Amino acid sequence: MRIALLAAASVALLMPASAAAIIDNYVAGDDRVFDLDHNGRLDAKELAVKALHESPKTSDLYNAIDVIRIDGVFDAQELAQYYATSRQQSAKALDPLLKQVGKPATEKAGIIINDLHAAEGALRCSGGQGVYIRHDQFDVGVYAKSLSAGSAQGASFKIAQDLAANSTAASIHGFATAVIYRNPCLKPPGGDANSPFVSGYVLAPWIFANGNIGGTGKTPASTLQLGVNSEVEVLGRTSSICSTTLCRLTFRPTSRTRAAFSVDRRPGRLTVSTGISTPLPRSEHHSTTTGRPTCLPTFAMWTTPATAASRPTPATDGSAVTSA
Amino acid sequence: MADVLPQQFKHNLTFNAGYDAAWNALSGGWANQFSTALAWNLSPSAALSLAYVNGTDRGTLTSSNQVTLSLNYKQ
Repeated sequence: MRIALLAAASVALLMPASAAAIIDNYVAGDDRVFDLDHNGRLDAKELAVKALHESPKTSDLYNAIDVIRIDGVFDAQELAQYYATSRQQSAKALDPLLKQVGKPATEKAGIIINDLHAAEGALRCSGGQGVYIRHDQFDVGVYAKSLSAGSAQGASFKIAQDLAANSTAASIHGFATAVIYRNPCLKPPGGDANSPFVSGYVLAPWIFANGNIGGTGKTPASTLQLGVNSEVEVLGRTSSICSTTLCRLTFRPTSRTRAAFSVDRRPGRLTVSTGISTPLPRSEHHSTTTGRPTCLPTFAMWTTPATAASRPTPATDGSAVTSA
Repeated sequence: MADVLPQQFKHNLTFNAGYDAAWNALSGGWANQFSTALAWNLSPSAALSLAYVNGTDRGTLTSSNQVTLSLNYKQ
């Protein structure tokens, strides 16, 4: 609880006065750190996490490790941070954790992290949603944390009957993706988290459709996009970027390739465009004390357009089209 | 009003209706529109809605008299 309190205090100090005032209206006292969705209430999941942090059987473990995102899950970042900091602590400070995982106090912290990774695997690493059908890509998180279906928008299919024009139109708006490869819980080689290592990856092809058929008064354009979403996370300490005693660098290149096919169905015109866009790597610095980001993440995107447009010309008898 | 989004489904059955009258100063025209929608959850991941709109949209000043059946699904 001491670490959780320290994390909460650090966050409060970094917040502007207006934000702190808003926080004051939230769940009272220390419970605010469990209010993950910041709605001022602790729902069932948040209460379960709170119980893990306060139960005599589990509090030592969770208050020492589950400090970056207090959600009851030990992610790779938290484990790496715990490992890096616990090596500098005395053996006595490790005793509660050693008892928790059933290891004698003389064992090294490198063995603990292996056990904790195994425990984490039962919670998170071995599972995860494989297929998502949502409204758009912003309703999907395929790396480790998935936006729950309950709070996401769904794909929609509509049929509209225009009573005035006596015409029928159909439209679809949806995003689907399937995770092919995902492992957000790779262990550091040899248990040494001080050297940069690949801590997770995910690869997920996706398809996005937004279009309509028939009707009047609607924009006569449709979009069909295909792509691959991939992320590789590298955890490690990079002294050239930030102080080895103050920061830990999380490096998560995000690549989202996209090939877009847009069809403009205005009379006498058909345009098909393709392009590929890929964001540049994104990095975040995390304090080794609180584990929370202390520097602004850098994020940029580059796009390589590759457009192929054709403008069919209706034949004189309207029976065929030719590309221009 | 006529388009009910799935995240708005707080209850198993939702009904709403409204009448909108506005003066569009830029286009210089009156807009009057009546809309109503009935939506219900088929399951926790699927929802169906039936909507009707009749009148002139205040933004586009386009008139419509339309019935829309929507199916929303998420996984």
